[in-house]
Amino acid sequence: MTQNNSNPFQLWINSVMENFDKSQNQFKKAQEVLSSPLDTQIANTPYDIVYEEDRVRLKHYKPNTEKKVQTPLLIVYALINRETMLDLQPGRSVLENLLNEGVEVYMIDWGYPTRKDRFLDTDDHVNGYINNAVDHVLKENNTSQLNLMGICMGGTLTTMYASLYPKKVKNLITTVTPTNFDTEEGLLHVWAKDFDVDRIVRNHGNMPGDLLNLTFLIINPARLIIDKYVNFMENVENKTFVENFLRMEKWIFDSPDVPGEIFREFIDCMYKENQLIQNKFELNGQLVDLNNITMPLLNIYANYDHLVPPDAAKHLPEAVASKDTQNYCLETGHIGIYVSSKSQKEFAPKIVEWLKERDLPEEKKKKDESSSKSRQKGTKAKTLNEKYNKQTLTAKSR
Amino acid sequence: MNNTEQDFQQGFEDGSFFAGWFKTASDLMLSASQFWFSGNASESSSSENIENFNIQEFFTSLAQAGQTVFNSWKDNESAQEAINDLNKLSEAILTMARSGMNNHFKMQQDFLNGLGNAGESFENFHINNIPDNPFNAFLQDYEKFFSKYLNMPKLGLLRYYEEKRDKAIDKYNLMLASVGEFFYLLYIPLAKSITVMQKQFDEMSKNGQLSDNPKDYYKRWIKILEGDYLSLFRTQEFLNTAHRALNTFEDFNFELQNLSNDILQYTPLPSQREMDDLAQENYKMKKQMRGLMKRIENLESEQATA
Repeated sequence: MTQNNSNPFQLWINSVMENFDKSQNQFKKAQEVLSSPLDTQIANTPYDIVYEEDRVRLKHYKPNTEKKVQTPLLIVYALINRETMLDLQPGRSVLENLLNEGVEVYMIDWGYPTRKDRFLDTDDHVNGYINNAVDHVLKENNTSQLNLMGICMGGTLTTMYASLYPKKVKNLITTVTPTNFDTEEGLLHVWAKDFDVDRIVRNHGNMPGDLLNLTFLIINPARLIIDKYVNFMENVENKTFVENFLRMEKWIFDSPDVPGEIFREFIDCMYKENQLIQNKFELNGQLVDLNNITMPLLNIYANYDHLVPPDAAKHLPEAVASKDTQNYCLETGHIGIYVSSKSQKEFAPKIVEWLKERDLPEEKKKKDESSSKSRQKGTKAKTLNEKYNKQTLTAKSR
Repeated sequence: MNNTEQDFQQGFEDGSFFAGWFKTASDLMLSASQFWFSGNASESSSSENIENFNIQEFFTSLAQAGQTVFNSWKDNESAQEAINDLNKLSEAILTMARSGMNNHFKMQQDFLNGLGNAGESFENFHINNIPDNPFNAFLQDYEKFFSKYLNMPKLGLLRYYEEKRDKAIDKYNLMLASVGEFFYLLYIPLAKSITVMQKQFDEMSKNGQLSDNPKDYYKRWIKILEGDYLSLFRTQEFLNTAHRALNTFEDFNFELQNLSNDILQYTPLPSQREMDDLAQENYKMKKQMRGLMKRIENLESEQATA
């Protein structure tokens, strides 16, 4: 290669020619890999369907060891993409990690909405599907409270639920959850401000999953449309890489449509008017008041999240009335928080550790609360001070 | 029977009622067409073709043919006369067809003239303004020269269908322009990043800092491209263009659905609108039923505890 050659394309051609034999071998290997049987199965962890309503199913995952957290955990996934992301493959599965730590997990599978589901709104999801799933879990476990965990938009829904049904929620965990929409940190927040959702709902009934995916791709076309596939071609002879890549690809483009009315409310009431965090949002005539959230709250977000940037996620602990709140920031992105190999060692272990610390039997908890109340009489100022000194941790600073 | 009814009956029997009606209708059409053509003549030289055709003559012959035909209803004895009358009518139909064709050619002519004018708008462009202008200019010209023809009021039994069809064509054209503009904007950072890359490459070459590894250049380029896109996506221009592209796409989609609803009316298949109505009824009933079931459950549990 000469230093005088000033054309990058020529450089590339020369490099290709020089490495022609190598390239030929690579091509041959790539062909072998792509035509060989590939294991691209996702969501392999076994589960039982314990409740069904319309298209919605409640999955039950039994712990792999003896129960270390007595309270069952219900996971509410977003209505965008599918909950299979939490169980991509053995060794890269949030679910597997939770089950290995002795947590009993239930998870809502929202299914694939069709045009007839276009009228389902936020009320139907929160007061309907989520509440019915919660009641089922409580009944099945003969208990009056569960731990509730929301993923992304599912976190926004669980926040609403915890405000409306605080007695049923023992601990609330929100992960990469948008609750403050008045920010310009993320492009989605900028774009959504003038987005005419009515036209979409009028024509399609629901928000088409493919259109959502296209939007997510356009946010960073250089990386998501070009670089990602260049990287794939460079590693195409590596079977494990190809399998992992295809699993991710399978998940990312498995995008159900979002029911029209809930999507409309999410855009208009959240993205455009930021009603939730201002305690202005109403469900079926009932105000969703975040001051009703008094249970412990763990709010996990990602520092490099381009869909739900930190500014959209980190303000929830300030808005609720809980005394026990914690912000926890991971140095990764929106999806990386669940699937990156680094996060596997941080995300689920953090949740389990936090839950274990708060997994007191109800009687003991009541006893502790009453003794704590008597201790705190006349020290309201101190309590308020504590409230505003809520913990904020980052994975880096730990 | 009062006088008016008698007159009507009499007129109906001797054909004078129809003849009178036909004359009034012809006069109306004649004055309407004169107004229409005179209005357009000032706008376009292509109207000359239309003026060469004597529109008054056409409607007079049409009126005469109509009157003769209706007169023949009164006196059916002469079959030959009736046939002659029919010939007159067919002449009139031919003349009408000729008129229709002329109108069609005139429309085409105006359309082509419009295209010519559209080209004039591009003459004023400067290369620096290219990212802002080509599609905007097209849209402006489109609305000025073409869109109005598609939005002209239609007449007759099929007017609603024709209006919907032309509206769909109009929305399709607007969508094509807006989506084209959107993709054009997406292309700009790509073109820009290559130019920037070339400049950087020249500088590196001058400083003897060239890398032997083409991957280094790729990494550099993708970083530039990423930055350019992120800058573009926050501009108001991009937001306007993206929303316009999406909105025009959805507007066209809506018109297309309207057309398909019309077609489905004549088939045993339900239209989307009908299915949506059904789904909404079903949704409301389900919601009511679930509410009632919950109330029953609560009452039952209250009773059980009591």
